[in-house]
Amino acid sequence: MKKQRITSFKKIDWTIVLIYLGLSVFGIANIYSTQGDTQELFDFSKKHGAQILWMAISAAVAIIIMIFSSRFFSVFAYHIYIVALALLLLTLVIGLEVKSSKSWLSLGGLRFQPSELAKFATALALARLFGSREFKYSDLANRLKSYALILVPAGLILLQRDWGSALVFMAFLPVLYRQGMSGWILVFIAFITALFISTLLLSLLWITAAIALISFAVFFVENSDNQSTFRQVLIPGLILLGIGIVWKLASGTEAGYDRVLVASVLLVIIGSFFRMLVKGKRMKVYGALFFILSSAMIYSADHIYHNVIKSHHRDRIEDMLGIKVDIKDAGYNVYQSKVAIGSGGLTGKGFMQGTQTKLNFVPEQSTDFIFCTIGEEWGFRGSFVVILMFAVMLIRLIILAERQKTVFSRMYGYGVAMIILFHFTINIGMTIGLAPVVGIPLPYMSAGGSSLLSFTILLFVFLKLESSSE
Amino acid sequence: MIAKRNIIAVIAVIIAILSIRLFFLQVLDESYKITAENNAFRYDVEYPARGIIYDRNGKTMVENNTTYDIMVTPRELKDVDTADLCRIFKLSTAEIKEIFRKLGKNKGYVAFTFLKQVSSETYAVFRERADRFPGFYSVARTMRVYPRMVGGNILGYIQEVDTSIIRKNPYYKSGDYIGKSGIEESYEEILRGKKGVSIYLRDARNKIVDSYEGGKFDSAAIPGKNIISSIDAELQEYVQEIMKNKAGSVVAIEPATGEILALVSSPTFDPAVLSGLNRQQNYSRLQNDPAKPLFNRAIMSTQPPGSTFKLVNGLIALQEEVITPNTSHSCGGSYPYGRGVGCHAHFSPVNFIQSIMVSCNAYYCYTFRAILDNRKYPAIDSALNVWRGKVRRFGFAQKLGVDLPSERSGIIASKNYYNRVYGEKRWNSLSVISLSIGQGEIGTTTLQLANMSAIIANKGHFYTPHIVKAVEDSGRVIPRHYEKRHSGISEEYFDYTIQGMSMAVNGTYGATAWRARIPDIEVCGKTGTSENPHGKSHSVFVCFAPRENPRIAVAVIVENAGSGGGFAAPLGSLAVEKYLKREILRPHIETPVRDADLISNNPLYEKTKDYKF
Repeated sequence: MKKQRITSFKKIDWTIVLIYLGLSVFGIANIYSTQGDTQELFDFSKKHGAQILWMAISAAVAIIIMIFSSRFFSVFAYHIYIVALALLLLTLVIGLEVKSSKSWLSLGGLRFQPSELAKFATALALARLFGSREFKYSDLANRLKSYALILVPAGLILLQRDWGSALVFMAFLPVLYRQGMSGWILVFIAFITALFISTLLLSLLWITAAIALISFAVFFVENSDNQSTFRQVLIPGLILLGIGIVWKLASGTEAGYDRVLVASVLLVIIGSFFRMLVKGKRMKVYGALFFILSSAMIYSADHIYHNVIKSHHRDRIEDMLGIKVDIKDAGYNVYQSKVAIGSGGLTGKGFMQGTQTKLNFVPEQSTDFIFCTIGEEWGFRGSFVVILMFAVMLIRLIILAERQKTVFSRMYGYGVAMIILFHFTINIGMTIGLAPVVGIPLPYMSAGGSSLLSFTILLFVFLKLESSSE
Repeated sequence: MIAKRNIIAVIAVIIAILSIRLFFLQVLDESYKITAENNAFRYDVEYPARGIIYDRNGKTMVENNTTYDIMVTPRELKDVDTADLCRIFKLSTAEIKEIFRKLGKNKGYVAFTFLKQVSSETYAVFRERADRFPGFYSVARTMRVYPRMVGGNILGYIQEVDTSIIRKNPYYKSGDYIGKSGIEESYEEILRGKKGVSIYLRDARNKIVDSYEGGKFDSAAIPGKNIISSIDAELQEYVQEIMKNKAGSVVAIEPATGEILALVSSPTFDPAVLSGLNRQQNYSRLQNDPAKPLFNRAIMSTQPPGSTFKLVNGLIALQEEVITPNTSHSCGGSYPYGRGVGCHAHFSPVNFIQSIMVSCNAYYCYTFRAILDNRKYPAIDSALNVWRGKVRRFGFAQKLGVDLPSERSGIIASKNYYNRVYGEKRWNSLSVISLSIGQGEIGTTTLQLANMSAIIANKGHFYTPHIVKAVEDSGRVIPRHYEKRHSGISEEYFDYTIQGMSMAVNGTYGATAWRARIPDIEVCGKTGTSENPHGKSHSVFVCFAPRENPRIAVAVIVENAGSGGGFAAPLGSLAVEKYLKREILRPHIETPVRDADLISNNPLYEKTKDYKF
């Protein structure tokens, strides 16, 4: 046992550990910068001090995890899951209400978000379910079990009115996909989202025309090899893109360009998925069906959007899509966030030199909007490095997950990667106006103890599993 | 595994989208950088008080009055009691409604001007109750006020800068004021002082956090300097008064210094109409007035000087020694050569002094031809050029360099002009004979004529005429220096000219300017009649007084008033009397001049309209 532990330390994936350390330390530097003028670094009453403290706690926990038996987590996966559910229920009863969502538990002065634990627990439980010997994804009962594992905590979090954290559970969909769920479901979800967004961005006529174009391509395809896929779907997409760029040059407005660009990218993605999945002779049927259903969908989406969705939600969505720019109300945060990041330029204003983030133009600048400080003070170079670090970490996680011998480790690894990916995408996306503002932190960088700790546990449990996989 | 590949592909797409978007936002798009600067800095500008303008006796001609602009921050507005606002600002309910309608649904932090130029009395009432109006605040603004109506053509006015000025001069920012015409324009930099600025960092709620870099880039406002004008406000007002309902101009200069004592362009305008709220309306009304009150006739209108110009020709002829003071010519009512030049009835023959007294046209035709046909010069064109050069030394056909904007130079035709009109060597002294009596291809400003009068009074030299004597810099009066120039005519010749001018006024028989006679003061003057193609001749008069140690030199042009002796001479003498005696003892002269209305009866002008204050 002791011998095994020592070897496991040597086998730790140091690439990920270094990225983890790099992101956390850089995070602390930026949190320090948001706290205004020169401060005592180890002032624990300040956010950067607290973050250093949490960093130390996280490091200790990471080391403890490494000492644990790797089997502990698969054995106790369901127990942890049940504890997490219990805490979520408890939060609903005695939780603290912060900014209209009741998602915090207070344990003797320390505040903690059970939804953070729930993500980890769900990743474990799903991995445990998939890893069990009798599990087959084609079995309906198993499939329903896996859905339930995701939906129950997500539902409880939704009851806390913390829809940002609830949305994170969508990250498990790709995990299911990896385990054998039909890609159709993902395509379907992406398709609905894309169509919905397109309806808001462009006139119905435009979308109908675009859908007709794709349907046309699908309908007349005889052979289904990859080359023709490329030609038939990508070329109409590229034409759309071209029109978008011409529009940009002609109108000179970024908004119009964005709309067409986003819409065309979405349509190209849908089309590509569609072509990948639809094979053989059923093509004509699918082509026709696609056209009819999509057209029906966009018209109903339009109706739902204008008559069912409440107006303040509409404001947020429209603001994100750049349809309605209201820099004082719904769009204020995003606008100021974009100003801060945009003003950073290529090289940034320098450490501690940001004016926008320091002077409270950007809200939540040390937590959800920490990326603004990075963008303003470190410029494009700094923010690009951060993005690259995440990219390397994510791809490395997936490569490592695929290498795992046990289904449990592999699926857990996917869970970790997808949760981080979701947080990363939505968090950065919202600071630059590409995603709606849902309050979820940037992993390892945002100020906040329970976020840092839970992401550390999430990551290091996988590193432990990975290091002891042989 | 296809799933693995697809997932990695999606990650790659996400990374690409985020990176490209960031690249656009941070590197390519400049607008966010500008927004960031405006976001974070607040520039508090301190406007210095504009300098005051005094007359030569210390009377204030322009000063400042503080008014207040009432501003509103829409975001902070709460339960406005409109009835109370109506009472304080004396507004009707409809007016208040109109203001709030303009404000509309604006809920921003950016200030909105609620009312402009509220008087300090009204402001005091408002300030007492300001706590009842959250979101309201005031900004002090200085406005020009004019304790006495000295013409707008001297003082000028101030107006908000337009974009062309902002583009040319980075000192000015939108909303700043700049001097326009008159002293306000030519002494803009002295009067305006220097704006001060304090730079603050502010946060998202517009709250001031700190002064930027500890105030390293802040500067205090430097108040504008006061100006002491050479104008005698009382004289100026008096001349304006007697020039009322006449078109024309009067310039009075102190010969010993070149200081302008009065510079009247009539009709003029009250600069106060361009200072209040109805500035824009009043300005367009002034601009469209057919009598052109914005046109400073004294320095911008050029007219043939008529017979007053004989003084110059006579002096040049004496200096050139083509005549002597004893040269006599007989005159039978005209100059009989060429196309002929008519003259009026007077005794004959006349010598040099008498020629001035009776203003004999024929005498100056002989004299002028003597100058041009002088054998010293090879040909007429070189003789004309020499003559023109000597005329220019009197300040004609050039800008005198008065410290007022838009001065015109006037013209004296050169040989090139005649070569063009008649052809080279196709003209002679007879062709240009009208120049001898100040008609034809000659245009002078009233200022130039007054300056000529000052040269004669000084017997040869003059100082560049100017309207500002001194600048008051932090309590010390710093006089300004002006150039002394010489006419090139020897002092001895002036005695004859002055004798002639004195006789023109005071002579017992045949004096052309007898209406300019003032008991106890020896006025020296010369009348002129400036022919013009548009109507009745302009009445011209130049004079200075007293003969010994002259204190004032005057030039008068009254448009369409006929002969110089009839109208301009008495008017000019009234200015002299007012300045030297401080009162008018000749009501029989004053009354007809003051009461004459040459504008409403003149088809060239409509009556001057009233202005809104």
